Amino acid sequence: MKNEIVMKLKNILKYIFLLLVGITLNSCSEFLGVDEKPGTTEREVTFSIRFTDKSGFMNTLFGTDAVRGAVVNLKSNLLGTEYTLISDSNGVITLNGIISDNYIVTANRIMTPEEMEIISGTTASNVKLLNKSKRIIELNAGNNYEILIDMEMVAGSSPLVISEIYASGPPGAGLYYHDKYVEVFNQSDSVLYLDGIIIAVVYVYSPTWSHYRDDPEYVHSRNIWYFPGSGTEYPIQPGQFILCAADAIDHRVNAPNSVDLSHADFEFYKDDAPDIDNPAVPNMIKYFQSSGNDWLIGGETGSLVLAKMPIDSIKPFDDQFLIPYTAILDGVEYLKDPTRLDRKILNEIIDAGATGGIQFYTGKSMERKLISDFGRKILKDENNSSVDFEIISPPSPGKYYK
Amino acid sequence: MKKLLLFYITATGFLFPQNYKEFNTGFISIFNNPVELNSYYFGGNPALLDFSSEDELLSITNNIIMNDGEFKRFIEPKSERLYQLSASGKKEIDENQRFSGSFGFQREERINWNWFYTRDYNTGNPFLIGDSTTGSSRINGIIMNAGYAINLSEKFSAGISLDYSVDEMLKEISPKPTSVHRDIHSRIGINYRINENMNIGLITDVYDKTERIVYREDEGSITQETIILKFKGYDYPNVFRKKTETRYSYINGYSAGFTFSFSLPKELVVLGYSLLGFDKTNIKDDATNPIAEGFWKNDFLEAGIKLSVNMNDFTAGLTYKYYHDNGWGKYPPYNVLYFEKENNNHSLVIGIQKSLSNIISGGIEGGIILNSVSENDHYSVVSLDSKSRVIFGKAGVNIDWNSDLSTLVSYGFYNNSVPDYTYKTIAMSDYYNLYRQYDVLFKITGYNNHEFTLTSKVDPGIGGFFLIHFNYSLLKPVEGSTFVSETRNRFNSVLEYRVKVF
Repeated sequence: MKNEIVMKLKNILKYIFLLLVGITLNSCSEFLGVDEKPGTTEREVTFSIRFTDKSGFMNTLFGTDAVRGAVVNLKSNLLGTEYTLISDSNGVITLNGIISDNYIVTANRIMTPEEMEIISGTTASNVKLLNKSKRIIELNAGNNYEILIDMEMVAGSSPLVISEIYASGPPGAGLYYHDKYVEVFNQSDSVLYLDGIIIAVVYVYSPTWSHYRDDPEYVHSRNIWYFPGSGTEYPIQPGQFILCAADAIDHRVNAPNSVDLSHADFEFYKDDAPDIDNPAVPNMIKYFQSSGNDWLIGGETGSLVLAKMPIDSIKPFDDQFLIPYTAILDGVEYLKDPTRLDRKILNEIIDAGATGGIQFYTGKSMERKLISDFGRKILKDENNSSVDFEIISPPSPGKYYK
Repeated sequence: MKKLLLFYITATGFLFPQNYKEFNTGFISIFNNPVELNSYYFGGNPALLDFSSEDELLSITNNIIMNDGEFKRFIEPKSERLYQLSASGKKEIDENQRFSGSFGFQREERINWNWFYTRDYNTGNPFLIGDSTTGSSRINGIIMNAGYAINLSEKFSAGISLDYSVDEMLKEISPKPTSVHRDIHSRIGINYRINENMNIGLITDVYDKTERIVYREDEGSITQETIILKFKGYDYPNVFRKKTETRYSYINGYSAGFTFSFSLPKELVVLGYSLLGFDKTNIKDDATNPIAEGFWKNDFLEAGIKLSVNMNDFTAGLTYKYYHDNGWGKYPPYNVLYFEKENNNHSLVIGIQKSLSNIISGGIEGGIILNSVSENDHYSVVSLDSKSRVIFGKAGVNIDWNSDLSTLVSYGFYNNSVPDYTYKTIAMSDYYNLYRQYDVLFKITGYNNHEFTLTSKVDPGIGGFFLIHFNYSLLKPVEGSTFVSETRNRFNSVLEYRVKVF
């Protein structure tokens, strides 16, 4: 009996040993799931991007559709690196020694009045070529080829922009979140009117993060408010900030590290809920918000658009409403993880990137960067929140933080 | 010595390497226990698990290791504490079968550990994870080992050794990440006895390790921002301001080799082994939709030869070991090479031991360790080529006070110099300027090491006996180096009680 057990053990050990020796000595890479060593080395590859004009301007001026002299900004949200280059006479920029990643591209070719006179016979200003359709590119050393980006003509830019979004909530006050606000800024040199301007929270079908983002025509929303007034009742002066608060009160009473919003210009008052209403502050008008006791925007992830269109022209769709891209003045997206651009909410035509990276209850805010302040402030507006916005703390409601 | 230890850990790839050595004397080539001069202890062939019936002992071992000081890489904790308590035993089942086993508990503390939270941060794999806080982490786990050998015929024997360990790790300050690890290492060996004097064997290893690191929202994160850092090289970590993350690491390794021995009883023993293998690590992030974050592969070759000559009251020993590894890492989504390294290490130790009287024997040992390192971090554009040299000498005296008490004391001096190196970097981020370049500078810093060792055997007459081992090392960087005002000291104590209970 004992000898039988020994014999069995001997046989089992022989088989196990032969099997393992076979596996190890053969050490077949494929069998063991070992990847091959890559033939391409990081940072030893030259990337090339070619910009092509679809407006015909460059062809008229230089006899080629290559966009020369375009100022190209590339930013990696993951790495925090940013590069600015100018395209050559072939409309090409080349980059050496950079890390492979998804980069947000903003290319601008400002048309001078002299060039516009040749093109159209008028000395129009504020005309530029912009890469509207392709804003995010993958620079991948392992699969490197020349990237082609089309540029289209854009006349002017939005006079009204979202200048600040504060959504995270204050530190040290538990789950207090009523101090959220959005700020609107007049970039232009003339008086504008806010009457009827829409502020909408963008809705995206979250399981795939792409269902509505890839809608070629409309932004989807289930949270739409608009400014009161019939046309010229609520002016906004050049360089003026307008503060729209969830609750227009001094929140420091409830949360010492919060903000004073009692001087807000407008308040989101939800009249079908136990919401706070400061009677001294005019209320935004709720068009649609299906849930919540207050104006609700995401604390870490969200997207707001500013739109101008007749409110009764908004189309219903399923449990949402549709705002056409053509009506949108400005759009800003913020993500919990701004490196995950695959989870973007807004179509990149409206916002190529995303700001954010702010955690709940940190008292941090997102403010549009200042690019000049000679008599009138000009804020950065490349339609790319990754480069247009910066994170500030504490928030600066109704003013620029510096 | 520190580099020897590092290479040993790297070579085995394990936090809990197989404990083939019976008891540490502090010497490598001399003061060897005669039963250790075979391919089980030198080469690790489990088919040669063998012992006499007198050695069928139960051992209860307490092991404490402490490391302290600022002469260290940034990636390392300022202090480390390792406490192990284990029970082990050996039993001859019958004339053809032997069994050994151990079970132990281990607690490790990493105190003032900057950022990093990958348990095995020392393997060369550049894909590490951490967060922006510096604090203590602790690892609690169990360690098990089983060994079995059987004589298949008069000349053939086979054996297996299996290491298994599981542990949990916790960072004690916010964001309080946790991790769990499971390690399995199996080795199978056969041995063929050519004649009375010669043996030849084959060994093969398979090992499998998993690590799961979890960052989740903790109480402290309500008032404190969590910053998670993912490294792909020395520099340019990916910085995430978020509270949650999950990382999975899967490590598989395979190796095969041979052992041989030649002996003329009581006169000469020659032992040798060689082992060739590789390990690979797949790293994935995100709990719900894991995405490949890194791939690391390391090929290694190790070989050794040991010679022991006995002439009446005189013993001479020689040990030579070679270790080579060659690793590379890539970022799988882009299939781009990020990191390469190559390492060559030769160590030669020669010692002589002489009986000075019936109760006193003395020994001296000296050696040289030559090491070359080549690292190319393409991702961070950091490259290092260095050659270092450790020359050491050690002297010790063993006194057998009586049949119940013996003591071996020794002192060793090690000089590590770095005669040749090239270190290049171009663009640097703040993370490299301020912190991680110390990881490279450490490798090109020479130092002196003073080592004191005491080993003793005490039989108090209660049925079993005690083995005691104390070792203290003090490392001091050479003048003019970056770390000149820092030191690092290491203390190791082992208390073992062996008793025959079968």
